[in-house]
Amino acid sequence: MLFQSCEKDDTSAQIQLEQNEIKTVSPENTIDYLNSFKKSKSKSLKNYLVAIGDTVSMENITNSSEKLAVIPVKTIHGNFKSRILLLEIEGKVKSVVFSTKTYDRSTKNSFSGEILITDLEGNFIDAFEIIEDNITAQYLSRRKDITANLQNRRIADDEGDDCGDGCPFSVCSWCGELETVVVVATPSAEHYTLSIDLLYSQGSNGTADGCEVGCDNYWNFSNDGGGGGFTNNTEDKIHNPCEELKAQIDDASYLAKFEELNNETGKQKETGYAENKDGSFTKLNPINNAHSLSLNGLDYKNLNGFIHTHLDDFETGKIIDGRPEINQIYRIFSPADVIAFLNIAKQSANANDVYASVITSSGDYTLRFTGDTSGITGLKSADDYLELYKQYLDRYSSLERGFLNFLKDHIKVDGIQLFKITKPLFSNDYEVKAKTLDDKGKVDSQDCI
Amino acid sequence: MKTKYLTIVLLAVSLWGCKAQIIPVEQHHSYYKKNGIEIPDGAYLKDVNNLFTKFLGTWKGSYNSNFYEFRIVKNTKSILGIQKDELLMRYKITDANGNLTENTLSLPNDSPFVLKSGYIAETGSYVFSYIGRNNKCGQNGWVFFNQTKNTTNKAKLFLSVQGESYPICDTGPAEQILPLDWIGLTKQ
Repeated sequence: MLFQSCEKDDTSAQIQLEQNEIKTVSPENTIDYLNSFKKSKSKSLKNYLVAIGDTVSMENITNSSEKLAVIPVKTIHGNFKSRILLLEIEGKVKSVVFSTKTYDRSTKNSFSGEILITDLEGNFIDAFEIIEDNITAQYLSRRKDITANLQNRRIADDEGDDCGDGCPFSVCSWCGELETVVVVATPSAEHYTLSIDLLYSQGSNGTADGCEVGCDNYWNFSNDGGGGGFTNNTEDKIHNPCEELKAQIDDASYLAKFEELNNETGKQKETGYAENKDGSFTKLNPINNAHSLSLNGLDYKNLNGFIHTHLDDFETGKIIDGRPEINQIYRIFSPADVIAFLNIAKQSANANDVYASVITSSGDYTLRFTGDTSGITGLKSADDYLELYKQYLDRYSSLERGFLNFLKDHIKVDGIQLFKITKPLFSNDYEVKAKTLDDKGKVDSQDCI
Repeated sequence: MKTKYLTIVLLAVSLWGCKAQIIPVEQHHSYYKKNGIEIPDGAYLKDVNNLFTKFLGTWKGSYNSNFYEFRIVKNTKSILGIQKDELLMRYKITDANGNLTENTLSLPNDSPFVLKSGYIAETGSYVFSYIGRNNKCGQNGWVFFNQTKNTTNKAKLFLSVQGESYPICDTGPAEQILPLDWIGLTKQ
């Protein structure tokens, strides 16, 4: 049968083959696919995707009646416009994040700029530079046996990025990791189109032959909805607490309190502030010998969080045989701090913004909530927690280990995330580390890059 | 000297890989915690030097016209993969008119109002973690119990207030009912 059609009309046979190899992923299936991806990422700290739009656009593919499912997204690369592209290729649903950075010289009909293609986790797949509709350079992951420095003499980088010499691609995180392949037989990117082959399989790794699927099927990427198709209400955020912590320590008014309190840890009185939703800070009142602060009387619904000191061990003033009796203090959140934090999160319109910070002379910590507020339930009385808390903190040499195990075994609310903020010696910048437990109950530190 | 010798011997024995590593309980804070050394799973923090004995019993005294009775017993607990010897303290407070202010004497070991989770300080005092019935409004802190040297029947204690207050407290900071200054005690 096929033979006959082949003899009669070559083009139509080819179209038939292509149509079997690429297939539309329906809007419903697209949403299911993305929902299950989102669920799998909900506990992660460093998501590449920061927000996913909720509109699926079914876009034309040339030489085919199949459609490309396109969803606007935001990635950690703020200077790129990004979309997820979903297509079933040879029986499997394939997804990529397609990101563009448009140069000023682009016109309505002719594209100049950078294209970046990654998987949904942000792993590099492909990237290229397009000058006036021609792909002039393609960047591939550097093979391990190539040690030469990255040099790019033939590409004019109009945008003047801040990545330094020898780094032509404006996504600086891959500086030095990419090898430039100057494309000789320039594939066309005419009028803002790219082939499915190039979108999903690196254009067959830059070789002229070897294209298996989508060689002559093109998608027009100019329809980016001018802003990625987001409106404030339809944005569906994937939480990235690492980014939020870094932004918080950069925020001038938070930083001012952070640094002020770092000078207060040797005092005899606790000091602290509650942060209101409008960004203003209210000073907290010391109570009970000023060894604690009161959050009572504040409207929790109106709070973003709080920041306070835990003091150094202090002398009680009582002496035995010339030796002072010392009141020991745990330099990490108390159960009262955790319960206050969870109360604020539960009442907040945006629990992802809620935080608690404790400033101590052996480390500064912040808690964030990344879970579901409906999970803030089943909390026991303060009396039940304090004794257990002390036992856990006494058991291990690391306060973080005791604290995280206490949260896991007794607070039992999903989504309480612990961060440590430090300023390395001789550095002006703060570093943020996420602290979690590994499956042996020991502390795992991950840098928030 | 004798105590130190005994400690060294016991440490040496325990280092030979006994199944339950025995660590003198007074070293928990003064050595292990202080130097950031992990207590291994299976260890037994034990009162091998009988430092607890002098604290045990019933102690009475008065402070600010209130009468106090404290009862201290020894207990061994299992927690997070180790065993630990500790002291437990219960108390009864009556005011000048004989009215009962508080009584935890019949509470079970695991009640939060029985003082526990303590340690031996470098001063030789035993420091108890204190949680009062009005914990949520700040009745919490550390109670320092010092048995007077060269006596067997004299002691003193006081409460150092931490005062952590919880969101659920709606009455303002609680009054403290344990002595905030040394109270002299006599063993019964």
